[in-house]
Amino acid sequence: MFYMMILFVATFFSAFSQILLKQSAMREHRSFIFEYLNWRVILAYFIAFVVLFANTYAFTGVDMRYGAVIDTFTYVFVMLLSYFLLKEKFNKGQLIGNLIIITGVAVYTLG
Amino acid sequence: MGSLSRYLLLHLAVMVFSFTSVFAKAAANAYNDGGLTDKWFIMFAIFMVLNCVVYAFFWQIVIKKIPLNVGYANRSVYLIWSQIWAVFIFNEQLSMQNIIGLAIVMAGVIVVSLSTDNDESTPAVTEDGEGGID
Repeated sequence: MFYMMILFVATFFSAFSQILLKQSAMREHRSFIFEYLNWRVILAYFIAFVVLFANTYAFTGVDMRYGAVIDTFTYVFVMLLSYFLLKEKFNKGQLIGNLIIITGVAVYTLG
Repeated sequence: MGSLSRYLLLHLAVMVFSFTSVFAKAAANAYNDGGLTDKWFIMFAIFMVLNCVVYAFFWQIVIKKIPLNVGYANRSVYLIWSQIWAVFIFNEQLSMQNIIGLAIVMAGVIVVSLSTDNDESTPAVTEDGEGGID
């Protein structure tokens, strides 16, 4: 259960790192290089790096196939965070599509 | 950038991302053969990191043009690319349930993409408080 919680919390941080990348992409930068060298992008990839190691540790106690299923929560968190933090709108089709994707990943992984 | 170009660039980024698992798998195989100091392990590990850098470059361009929830949904196509590489490069087998799962994922991606307004783009933020120039 502890290892599953690590994977679950990691999905939230993965989604949050995507929000940081999107926030950086939405801003104007002094030059092309600063589109990549700014605190949001650097923090986002630092988080991605930490998540990578956290997942590796979690897989010492959880089967790989369950990892991919738990990882689908990233889609849910990306939708929620992009709605609340980025004010992105999503329609019924996008919501249903994401649910279909999550179902597909679960079918694939648990097969 | 037209909507077709946006989606082509998005899926190019996703395909590049899928190579990360190819290099990771190749590095793992080399590690099993020669350990941490194996030259092939080191080379594939470096390629894996470089591949992530290339992917990050494209991904940052893509999410400037596409809503994040749509871009991230499309990113799930990497599962399909990973399976193609697994079969053709590493001679791995796919079960029928794997194939059904991938078909469902693809259907979900199509539903998300068809539900998205193709003229939707993200305006640059320039006002302090709402954004600003980095």
